[in-house]
Amino acid sequence: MSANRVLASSRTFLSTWIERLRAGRKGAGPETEGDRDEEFYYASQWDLMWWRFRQHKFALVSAALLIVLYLVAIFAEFIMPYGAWDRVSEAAQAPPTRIHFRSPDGALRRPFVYRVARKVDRATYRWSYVESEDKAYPIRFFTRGRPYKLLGLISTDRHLFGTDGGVGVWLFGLDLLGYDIFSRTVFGARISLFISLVGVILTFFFGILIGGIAGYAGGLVDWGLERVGELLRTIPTLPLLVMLSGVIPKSWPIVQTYFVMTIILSFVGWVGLARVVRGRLLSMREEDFALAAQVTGCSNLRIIFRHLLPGFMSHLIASLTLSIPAMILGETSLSYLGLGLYRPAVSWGVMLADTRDIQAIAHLPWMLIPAVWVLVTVLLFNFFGDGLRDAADPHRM
Amino acid sequence: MLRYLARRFVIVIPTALAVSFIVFVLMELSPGNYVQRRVENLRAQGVKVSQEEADRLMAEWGLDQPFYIRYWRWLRNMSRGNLGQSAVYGRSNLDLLKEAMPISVTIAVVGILISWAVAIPVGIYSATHQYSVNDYLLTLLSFFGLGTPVFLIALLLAWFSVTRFGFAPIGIIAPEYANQPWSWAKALNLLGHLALPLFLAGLTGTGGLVRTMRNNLLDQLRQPYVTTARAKGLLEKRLLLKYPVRMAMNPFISALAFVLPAIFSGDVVLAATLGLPTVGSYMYTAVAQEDPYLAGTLLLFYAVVVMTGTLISDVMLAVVDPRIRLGEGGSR
Repeated sequence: MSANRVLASSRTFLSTWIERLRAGRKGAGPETEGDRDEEFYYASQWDLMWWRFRQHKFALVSAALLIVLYLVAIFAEFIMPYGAWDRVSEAAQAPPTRIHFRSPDGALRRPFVYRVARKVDRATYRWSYVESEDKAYPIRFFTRGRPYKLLGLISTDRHLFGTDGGVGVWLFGLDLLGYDIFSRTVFGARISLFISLVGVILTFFFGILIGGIAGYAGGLVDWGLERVGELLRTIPTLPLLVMLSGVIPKSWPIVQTYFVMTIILSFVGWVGLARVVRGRLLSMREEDFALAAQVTGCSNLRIIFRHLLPGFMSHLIASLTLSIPAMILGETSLSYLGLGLYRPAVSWGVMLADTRDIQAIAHLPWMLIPAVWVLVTVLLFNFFGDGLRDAADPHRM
Repeated sequence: MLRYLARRFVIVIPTALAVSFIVFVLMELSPGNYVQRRVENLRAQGVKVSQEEADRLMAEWGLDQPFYIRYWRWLRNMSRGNLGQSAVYGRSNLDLLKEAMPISVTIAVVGILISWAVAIPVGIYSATHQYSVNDYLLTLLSFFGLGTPVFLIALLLAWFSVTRFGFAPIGIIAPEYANQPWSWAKALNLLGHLALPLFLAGLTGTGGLVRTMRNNLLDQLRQPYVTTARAKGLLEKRLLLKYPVRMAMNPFISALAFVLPAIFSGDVVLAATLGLPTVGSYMYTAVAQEDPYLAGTLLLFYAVVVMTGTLISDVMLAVVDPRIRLGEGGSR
């Protein structure tokens, strides 16, 4: 391009901005618009986004609940009354413990539970559990239990709730082998929730890097990315993941399997993100301010990361949030099939693997409770991401 | 138009080759191969197989050849309709595919038809009644449909069916009918078993399609031409169906390209949950029991069906929408 054109366009660019700033400072409209507008003109993009996000009540509530979920996952050991690998084999397959609020004579009391005893039905040879009502065990908070290290630092043995005398409070019942489903669901949230975060960070990194190169450099890289994207859209995700999971040797330790799985899961996501980045970059590099940066002598990397990316970062974050559910479901589906993580690892998918046997869920329906958690988490992320996307959408000012 | 179609058809060849290459690499990376498997089976039966014999078998099946020669042979054999042998099932891969394919493809096609039939009217209603109570309800529902993994719904419904009706929707037909001639009772039983998978396949794309239909239609309804038509006194119903709906329909055709992979993703999990003899069930067994060649063949099959679906949708789009077939010919 000719130097004249560059100069001319950077001049128009500058003058428009000066005009805009002037208009903003003096208030283009009548004085009565007041401070609210003043604030609006000077607000950063993130402030604007937050104001718009706040109006989306669904998304706001979802965000709050998600924070709670993550806190539960972080402080799992405190919240779960029993260890994830503490087995109560003599009460295996016990239903969720009934919590009573009234004593047998009908008086209102502090919540308590009864000890349960196993009975064998002589006709079907199935176990059933009956409460022995001779002694009530009140539920207490901050009880002592299995010692653990909070956040891996503070040694303690306090748990959120429990009973004196070691009578089980199994909120979600016990599974086939006698593990407490509530404790495991809380503990499994770690893998299920954090595998997606690690995956998303990888996705973010690769997506921006490759999309950035393709969008800015164009040409062969761009063409290649387009083709890879087409290819990956051709192969259905889950069968591909299943096939890839076959490549991971069964003898690998859980941590390693876990790590490779996050990489596999992020692999599915980054092509999509790279295409978004590419599209946005392609349209934005034609803008005046990109040209201005080029004229000032910025390096290509600086232009991409300092000038162009911030322009659509909010949009990227929104679409990333919407890709988290897919990752959670990828892990859950694979582990459910027995092809991802497996015992003794604890994740929602591993817990659900037991429910593949429909006869088992007919008799122990509480084993489906982790599924409800998966559903709720995925829905929350969808609402949250939808709200973010609406807030980041420049067309809806 | 012809030029566009020709170009579109030519693209299929490199894509198919590239997919086959990816699949082959995955097959190579997976543990286990046909001869190893067979030797293990023989040894398990008490037949003594010496190392030399195993090596001879490897050479006989061409497994000692370098990578590119085996890839070439694999392609050549496939072009002749020879998809190889499954070590786990002890049958030819082609036979297995022939058995499972009709079920998987039927479920996929009917699933797409169901989601079209549901999503179009619901999307139109949602867009024309924006921000009404029903719109919010439908939005909520479509989010459920979007976010819910198929196998979880399958589990919940199967549990419901077992506890309420005492009917376990497992497999494709009850065992007592399996070898019987066709009768009404058998057809009914088959339908009962197929209802759940068909419903779930339909559910896969519906949520997303309702959302796209609603958003696209809303975009169209904001256009000036709608105001013009309204100002000229066109009947609301006629106005709606004649232009905006038609304009918003494109995603439904391209849905073939992105709902198909989603349904096939569900295929694997559904097979495991409901015990259906779909392509997914063979895929699952193949991976679980380390038969990478069968797994790879089935993965390739999925990809081929998706490619065909994409091709059909592209051709249909070109027929329906002149912008696409003419836009490609121009200078852009």
